[in-house]
Amino acid sequence: MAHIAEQADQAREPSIAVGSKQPGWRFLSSRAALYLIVAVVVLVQFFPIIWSVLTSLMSPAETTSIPATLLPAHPSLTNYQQALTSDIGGFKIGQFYLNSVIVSTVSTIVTMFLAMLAAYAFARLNFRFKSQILLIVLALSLFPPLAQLIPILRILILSKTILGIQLFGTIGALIVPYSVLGLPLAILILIAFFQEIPKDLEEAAMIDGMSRFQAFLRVILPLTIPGFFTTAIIVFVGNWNEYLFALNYTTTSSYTLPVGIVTISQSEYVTNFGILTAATVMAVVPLVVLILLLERRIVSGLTAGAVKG
Amino acid sequence: MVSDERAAPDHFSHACVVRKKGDCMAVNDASQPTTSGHEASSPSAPGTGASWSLLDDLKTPLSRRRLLSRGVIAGIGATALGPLILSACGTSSSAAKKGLVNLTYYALQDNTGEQTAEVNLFNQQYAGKIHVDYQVLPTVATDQYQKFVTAFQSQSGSPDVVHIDVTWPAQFAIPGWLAPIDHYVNAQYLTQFFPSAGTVGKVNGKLYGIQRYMDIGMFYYRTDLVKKYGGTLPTTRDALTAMAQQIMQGEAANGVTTGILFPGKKIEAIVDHWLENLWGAGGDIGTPGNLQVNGQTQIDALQFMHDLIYTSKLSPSGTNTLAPADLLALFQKGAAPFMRNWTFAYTPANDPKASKVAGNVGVAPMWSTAGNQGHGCTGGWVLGINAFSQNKDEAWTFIDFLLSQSTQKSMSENAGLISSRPDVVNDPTVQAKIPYFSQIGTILGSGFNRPPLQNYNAFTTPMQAAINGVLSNQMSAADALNGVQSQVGAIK
Amino acid sequence: MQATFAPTDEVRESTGMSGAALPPGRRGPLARREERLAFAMLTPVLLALFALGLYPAITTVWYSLQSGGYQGINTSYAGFANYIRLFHDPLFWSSLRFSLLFSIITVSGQMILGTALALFANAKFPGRWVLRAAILFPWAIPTATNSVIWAYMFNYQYGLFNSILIHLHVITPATTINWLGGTTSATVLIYIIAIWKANSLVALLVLAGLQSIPDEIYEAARVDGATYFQTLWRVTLPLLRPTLIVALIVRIIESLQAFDIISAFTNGSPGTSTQNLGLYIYSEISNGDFGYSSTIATVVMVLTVAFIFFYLRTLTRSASAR
Repeated sequence: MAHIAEQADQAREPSIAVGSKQPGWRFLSSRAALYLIVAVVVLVQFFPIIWSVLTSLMSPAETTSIPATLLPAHPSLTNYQQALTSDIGGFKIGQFYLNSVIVSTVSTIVTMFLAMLAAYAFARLNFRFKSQILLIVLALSLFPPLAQLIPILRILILSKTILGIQLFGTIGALIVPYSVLGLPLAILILIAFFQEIPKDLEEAAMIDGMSRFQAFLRVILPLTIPGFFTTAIIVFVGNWNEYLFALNYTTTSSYTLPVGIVTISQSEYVTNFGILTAATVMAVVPLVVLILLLERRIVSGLTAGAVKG
Repeated sequence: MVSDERAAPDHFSHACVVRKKGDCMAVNDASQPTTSGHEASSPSAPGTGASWSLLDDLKTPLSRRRLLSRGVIAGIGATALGPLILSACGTSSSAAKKGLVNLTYYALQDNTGEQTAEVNLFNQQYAGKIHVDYQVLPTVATDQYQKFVTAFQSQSGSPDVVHIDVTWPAQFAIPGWLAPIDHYVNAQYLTQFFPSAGTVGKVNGKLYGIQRYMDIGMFYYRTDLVKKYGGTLPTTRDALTAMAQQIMQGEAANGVTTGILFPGKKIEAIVDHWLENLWGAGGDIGTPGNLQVNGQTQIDALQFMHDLIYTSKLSPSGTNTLAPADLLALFQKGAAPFMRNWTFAYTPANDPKASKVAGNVGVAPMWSTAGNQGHGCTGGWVLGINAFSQNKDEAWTFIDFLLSQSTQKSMSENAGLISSRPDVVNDPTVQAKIPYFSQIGTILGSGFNRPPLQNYNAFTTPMQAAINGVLSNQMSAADALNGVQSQVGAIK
Repeated sequence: MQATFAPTDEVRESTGMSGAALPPGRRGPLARREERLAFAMLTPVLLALFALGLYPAITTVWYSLQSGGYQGINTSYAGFANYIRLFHDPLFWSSLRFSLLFSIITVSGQMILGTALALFANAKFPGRWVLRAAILFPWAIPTATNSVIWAYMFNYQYGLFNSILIHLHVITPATTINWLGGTTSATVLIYIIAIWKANSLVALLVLAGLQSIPDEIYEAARVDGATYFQTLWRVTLPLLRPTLIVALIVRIIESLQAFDIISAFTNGSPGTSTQNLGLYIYSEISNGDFGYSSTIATVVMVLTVAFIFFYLRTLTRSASAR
């Protein structure tokens, strides 16, 4: 039966047939079944965000009514307004947003630059002690961040003593550890992506007269753009959501979004769920939209350019 | 320490200019360079002399002087110069000239805006002399605690003034992170405060802080229901459970679904409430270094909490996940006649917009067993000075301002917090604004402090798990408390 | 040390590295130039890691041999006393058990669901961007607030799920479910939330891996008459193996270090039944016992390495069996 449906589907609209790339998806070719699954997956994945949006529109009394109010009676944006105007020692959530953007972006760029070089070396070059060096790189990421909190603090203090650079209490105190602590995972992931590119490509380039490093820059790097971008997203979101260092190495002016949200939404005993969810929605939605847009633009743009050049 | 810095020779100021540049890069102006003399001020940092090994370095907190002298200067063969240069650098900071002194103040988030207003007022009064930078901490207690520890470990002198939980002074004083304030206060000064506010910061005979505001576990009740079912407020466990039973049966149609609300979530409040039940039965947990949590009175107190959930079913079956805010939500809904909660619950429980029981809420000291008196567990926040602060005198000026009668009055009126000063709590204009303040004197008078342990966290962590385990019906009260006795018995 | 290095060959092999080092004597000038380039490319990373990663690692191991003091101050050498204490500590064993089960169950769940999600999002149909957004959303919510929101939804009194069940007349307001107060329900919910939160990472990686598989391969499989699942099992998954292994390693590391996802959700309750090693480290740190917390942290490190090797070995075995 599935077979017949599959043929019918193919005959009708081959271009948008489900899984034209992977033939097997055609057993699902009944559109209804497909979109039912999509609906379920989307509901599950979006669930807390949907509930957050609803809660953020409720009045304070509705957020803790027993049993819970499912839909706000009089949806209002008061919680958003409060989240935006809550003053923490002279700083507002906009500042924390900016801090998060700067910290996550700068440290992601640094991590990706360093990891790219190292991953290429691990994936493509022959050198002595390769597995031992990889083990060291990996091992340094295996201690729980909690155990690293105070030792890294001492290094940050040391940076001031020796170099005169004040890191502790500034966003630099986050950029430095994030840039380094993201390295092992970024390297591991990038190695896998480098592996997928056929060896012949760079050999061909080298026969054409490029040096090894030129081949890396001009041939391999463009081809790994999708993998590079995926890795960058992973590193970026990891930095964006980090809480422990962001709490402990900062002053109010350098708080990042997660710390800011927790601070504005809770008092000693009571959590203001309206503000908490409003702030979370404001933190998450722009981030996801931005990633989706960037992914579409950058990845398609760069890969297209790479093929031409 | 200050004099030591002032004595530094002038010609070293060159080095300071260079270093100052680095300081200026800090976002937070008040984070001064480490004091040159803090090895002396930190009793726990052993002066390991000139020999340097990695292990020494790991063991003792990094000191800027030692690191520079050992790590860099020693490298170029001029060990003796290091401390001098750094002493001189200390001079260039605000301590020498006493121009505008910048103070950093770490305190928890206050969404009434009162704290910010107080700081602004201080900055106005001391314009050109002292400027306080209020750094807001998240209100999650464990987050705050860790942030203080991190700040102290950095030995940076920032924050200068700390706003810490009543169980923390010893934990911060013993590693040498808090400065004693004995020379700023005398017995006369301390008489302005409730006695416990002046003793809560006392560690090994020295005073490290004074309480800014008080908190206490109170017995909340519905005045209308108590009136309807006999008129006299029950004070003993038996009378309490009997009346709760009656009200639950009689008022089921009116939305009363449960009798007695108490915290059962795995948080500090469950240890406090267990202590209240224990004190109310005439018991205690002994003295530091010799604690006993598994005697019969101790077990009975926990058993009473357990039985309210599982035997008499006067408390919600999900009590083991209820935090103070959850109790308040139920009480506001009119679901229960009785509740144990902190003082913060009073205002929202009486807010007609949020509470169905507004106007019918009374408070009293905690319940007890027959023949004993009830005691609420005290809480609140203490002001202290960072031992690494270079501006201790100015820090004290700020604390003195926060503790003054006018500031405390403003705090009570605008933020609803209980002043640590009887003259504020008993002030008729304050009591007019917050009616239960007329009773709070009596309730505070009957309150007990938690044991003054040097490491309270090490006591409460296993206790919270054990009590929550019993309230989850995982194990018997006796087994749970016998299990933690070996862990907590020797805690000082 | 030799024993430790042996399994890394599997890492190398599984990620397809051809790093068999030749004896230095037999290296030609080309090989030496390659090695110089390699070290030039590695130096920045190694410098960065040594500057920031080495000291914490040494400190942690060193403190695990110390005891006494407070917050790492005034500790004294204690040999292996902390490790002996671990051995006799029932809370350590229960935390270890929770961590291991948590890791096995959530990583398996994340691998399976994440891969399925990626395969699904890779299919071409109108509106699939919604699926891509669905992949990103759970992961983009800060962990610190995510657990608070989930705990809010499962609140015993004013939680969403109890309210939905009341509206569906499954339960009454008097019989609401105490989701977070029961050992089994709390544990299962932690698993579900952890899987939900991080299947995104697996999905993203697999999605990128899928895009690098040429269409011709699927075409060839189709011509051979392979069904969808045959293609998936025999063609797609083997080609994804390097990506899957990396996703696996990344997830294992993070699952064994899990902390904030549980701390804001149950904080280890009821009792200590959902306490994992991450929470245990945190509570020991806040109790000021650096020695013991470092000992647990060291155990977590060793455990992570062991887990990675175990997974890799199983994977390489089943792969060669096929």
